Amino acid sequence: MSIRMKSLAAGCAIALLAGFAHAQELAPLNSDTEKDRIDWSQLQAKFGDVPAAPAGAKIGGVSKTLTNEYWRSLGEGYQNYGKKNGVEVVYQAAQNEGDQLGQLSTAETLISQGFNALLFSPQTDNNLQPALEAAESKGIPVINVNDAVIPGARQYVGNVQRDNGVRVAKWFLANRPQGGKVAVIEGQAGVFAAGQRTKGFTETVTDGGKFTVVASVPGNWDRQLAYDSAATILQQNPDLVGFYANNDGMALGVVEAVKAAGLQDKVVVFGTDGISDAYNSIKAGELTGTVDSFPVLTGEVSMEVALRLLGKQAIPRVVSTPQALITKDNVATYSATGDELRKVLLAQPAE
Amino acid sequence: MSTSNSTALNKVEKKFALPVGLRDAGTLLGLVVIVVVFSILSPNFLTEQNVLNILQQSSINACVALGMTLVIISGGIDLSVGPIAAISAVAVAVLMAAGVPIALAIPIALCFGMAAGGINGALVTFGGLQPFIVTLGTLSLYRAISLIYTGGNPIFGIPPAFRALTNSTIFGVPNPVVIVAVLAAIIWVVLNKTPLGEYFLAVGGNQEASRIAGVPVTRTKIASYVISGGLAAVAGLILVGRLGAADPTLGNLWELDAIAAAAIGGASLMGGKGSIVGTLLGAIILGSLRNGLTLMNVQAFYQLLATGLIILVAMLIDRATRGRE
Amino acid sequence: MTNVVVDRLKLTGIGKSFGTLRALDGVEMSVRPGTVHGLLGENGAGKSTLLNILSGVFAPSSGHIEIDGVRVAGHGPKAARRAGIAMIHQELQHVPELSVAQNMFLGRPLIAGGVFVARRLQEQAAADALAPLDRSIDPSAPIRTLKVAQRQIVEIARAMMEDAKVLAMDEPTSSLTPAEFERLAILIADLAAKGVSVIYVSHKMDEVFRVCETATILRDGRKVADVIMKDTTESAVIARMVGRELAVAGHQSFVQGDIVLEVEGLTRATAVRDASLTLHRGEVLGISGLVGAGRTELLRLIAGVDQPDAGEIRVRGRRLPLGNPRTAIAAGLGLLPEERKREGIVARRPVSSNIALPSMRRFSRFGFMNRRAVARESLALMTDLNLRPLSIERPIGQFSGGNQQKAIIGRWIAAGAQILLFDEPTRGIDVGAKAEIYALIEKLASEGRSMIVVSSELPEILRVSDRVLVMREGRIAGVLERDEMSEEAIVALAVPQSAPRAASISRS
Repeated sequence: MSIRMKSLAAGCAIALLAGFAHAQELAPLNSDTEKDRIDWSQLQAKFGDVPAAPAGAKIGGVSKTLTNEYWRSLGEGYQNYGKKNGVEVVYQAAQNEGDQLGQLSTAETLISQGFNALLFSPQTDNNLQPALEAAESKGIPVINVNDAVIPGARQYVGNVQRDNGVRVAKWFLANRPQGGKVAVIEGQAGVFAAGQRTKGFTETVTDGGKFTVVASVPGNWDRQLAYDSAATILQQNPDLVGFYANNDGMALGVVEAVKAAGLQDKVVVFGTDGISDAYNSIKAGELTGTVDSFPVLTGEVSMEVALRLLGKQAIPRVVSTPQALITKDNVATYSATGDELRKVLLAQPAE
Repeated sequence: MSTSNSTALNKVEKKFALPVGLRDAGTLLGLVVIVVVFSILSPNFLTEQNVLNILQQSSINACVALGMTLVIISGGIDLSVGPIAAISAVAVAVLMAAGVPIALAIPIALCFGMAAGGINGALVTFGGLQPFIVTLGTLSLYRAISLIYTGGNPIFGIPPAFRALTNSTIFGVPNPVVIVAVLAAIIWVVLNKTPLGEYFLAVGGNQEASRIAGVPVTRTKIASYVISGGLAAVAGLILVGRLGAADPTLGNLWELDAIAAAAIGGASLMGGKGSIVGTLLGAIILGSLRNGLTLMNVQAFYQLLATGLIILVAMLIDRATRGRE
Repeated sequence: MTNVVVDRLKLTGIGKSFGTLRALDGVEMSVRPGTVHGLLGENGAGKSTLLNILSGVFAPSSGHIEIDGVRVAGHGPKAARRAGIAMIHQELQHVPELSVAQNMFLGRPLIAGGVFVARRLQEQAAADALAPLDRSIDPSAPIRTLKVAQRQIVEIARAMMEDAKVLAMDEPTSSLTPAEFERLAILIADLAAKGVSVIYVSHKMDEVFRVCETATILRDGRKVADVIMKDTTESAVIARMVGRELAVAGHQSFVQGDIVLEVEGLTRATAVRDASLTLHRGEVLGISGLVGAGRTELLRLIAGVDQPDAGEIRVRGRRLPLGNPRTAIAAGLGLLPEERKREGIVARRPVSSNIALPSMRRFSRFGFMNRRAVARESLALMTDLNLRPLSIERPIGQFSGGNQQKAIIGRWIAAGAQILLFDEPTRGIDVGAKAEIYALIEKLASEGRSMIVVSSELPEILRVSDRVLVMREGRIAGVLERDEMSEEAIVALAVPQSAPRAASISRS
């Protein structure tokens, strides 16, 4: 048994005090750079089969909002995996992406219901902190699933956010060797994922000096806002080469703005998440590409990690999930679902 | 009106015109119905732990709604409570991070909140602007200040001693609940037992008549916004303690929850009418609803639906029992 | 006029109960075509309930209504309107921003082409209906630009457009000047001549006697008499209404020598120009003049409610800071505003709170209100002022106009005001309450308080004033001592020299 497990046991015994002391030892998490990590594809090889779930096991998920397809798909992943392995899954979300307190209330309510493990996808890096502490004081393992990163999280499952932006930047470096002006539509200010994605893109694309980022403005995950911002940017920079948006909703808004400006042949647009609308738009030749982080699969992996934790396996702090740049060339391949998609992803080289 | 039916109606109204306590009893009845329904549907609802949960979850909205109630009673509205809470939260976090003692950082942060409220009040009274528009403006303005100051990033490094203030309990009751209960008692006294309270009700009921009767209208209105700003600041500080960080986006849409709680509790957006007890019950109703529906694993969209229906039903019952004015 | 046997309007056994309260009990009333019929009674006698039944707002608990011998079928305002009953409310219900024509066609616009409002046609029809009444009203003007008297004419025109057979008017003159009343009286006579039956409800006896041929008197929901005006007297009618003889007291003066209030050169734009006056201890100074002469404005300036452009006010020799109601109140002034609902009462608050409002400082200790003291003093005042019902916690909005007025007077007594400024103190309140207010004014004067009373009713001014100050176009046109006072003298001062027609306002 690892040191972590021992202290968890102690945490159960001396409840809050020990948990608090432990939290002090834990370095604030940066899910992109944390050294204690493993790729999802290596779990089976390293830890063997997933332990059977305890009888009547219940796992609760709390995510951002169901108005975003990404979070619906994540929940689908939870449910799929739960059904296959005989685990009851309760999946709740806040009323909208700004509803920080509401999400906290929901999480706290779930804690009092005796779940074996909880999967949190917080609105911001800290709004679920009290729930995390409460759960840990009761010895309920909490897995921080994707996007916003709770600094005190013991377990994280998600993609490398920075890599998301890096992949798009690499496409520009490979396909637009002459360089030019690019723009970024960012997500909600202060959210870890938005910051990392933007940083990864900007740092990579400007490396070499051929590209300049002429604008990097917040779109707050909102399609309309992204549309308006993009329209303004295009007006100022008609010679723009391309956009990178922190999620697909915003990217699709940008696509409309580009079309409205009549620049669809000159300006490329990339999104993030790989929602179905984005796939359709890529197939239709409008959206240039998206970085799919495979939410259904991410959900399944999260459940797998939860079961492994319940089976007392010492899983590294960060489990990174796959992502891939989807463009017209490979869209057919990645349109696969379920086990077939797993095969495709397992075949792709790990980072 | 000068005739028989006014007398007749008065007699009829007498049956319906609820004295202050009765309206609150109605709100309480609504809460009881919700509690009974949920405790039948979910065995986990009426456990001690969950009841404390509900109170804790309602406390922040209740705190903001207390101030909102005073502003609404005096004929105004305060849409800027969320950003005021954020400014105060950022202020307290920055001060403490800079090594200012907690005992000093808290009052300074509260002053920030009250000053922001004072600006609202001054714009409404001296500027002669409509409260809705003024606070709609400061809603963006105050939010921008906290975002610009922090660059959009949350401020960490909240001292454990500060967090202990909000995360510990007194006789098993979470501190935020105790803090808000004490504040509610104070506000209740202000509204019901002091000249200022009488002025709130008079100015909201009929501003011109109050002015002619010698009520210090300007001071009264500013006072309502200052108190609202102060209470929003308290709510912001409680949240900082609970979250262990001050997020500049904290307090998003708080104004709507607070208005909803006040309205369910019997406050009239026309001014001149409202109840502190009612507002507290309104906040707990909203909290119980969210909690109960989560326990029953009802999806967020339906929770939103239920919240909307509760507000409308409360208003319709209010209308039906009020009779003719 | 032709001989018609059938009554135009016949009410048979009309009764109405609200819960346990019987507002009307077996009321019978008949009105012949082309008659103006008064409906008289004190507050609470059942007049408004009867009007509401007539116009279909309430369904009667018993009895029925016939028009030209045909029972009115169905209930509700629409049925009443179809039967030919039109109603003009005391407080005219218009949409201020809409035009005269739009208001006349509100709820049933003329439609052209199936979709569009035929604005032109509406305006033409409105103009046609208005023409016989008042040609100066522009059908396309927003109704808010019209005076109250003109709006009433619009209402009458609307009723005529609907071919009303019965036109009920509830207190139509409560905000009219004497001259406007004269015009209305002529209009009503014209309507009657055309065969329309008019039901006229008013508190003002002189008007009723001037306008009506017959009348029904109600008391406590029952009919007490049908009278023919030319065969009876005002005092006889009032006695029937109140059920007792009202003592008609003469004027008593309590003026003492010392000056308590001096106003010098008070000016605000064109509303009040260079107004000066003095007020003695125990004196009642009446202010008369036409509506718009600046009477209300002058009172508001003295009370600190509005800010004057120039002038000076001294209370007992001490200069008063201008334009601040709070310092004026501290100096012992108190205003009883003209518009009670808008400027006087806080309708939702208990009567005790309304009384205590200016005296909060006196009623509080260590920052807390002494509710018990408020209750004790309110109750004593209410008893003193004969304010009914004697319930201090009841919202003031639920009291009758007269009792609200008494509460506001009580407010200033509680605040220790020595100079009371009364603006139309008896507007819209009934005969009995009026007499009480007059008695109260005398009582306050006997206690050494001074009062300024603004009133549009000349008999009222003559009744209460020790001196009368007459205003004309913002200026003080003259002051009449008690022995110089008469309606003629007041009117002579009030009427602008350039407008000879206005001489017609003299009436009594």
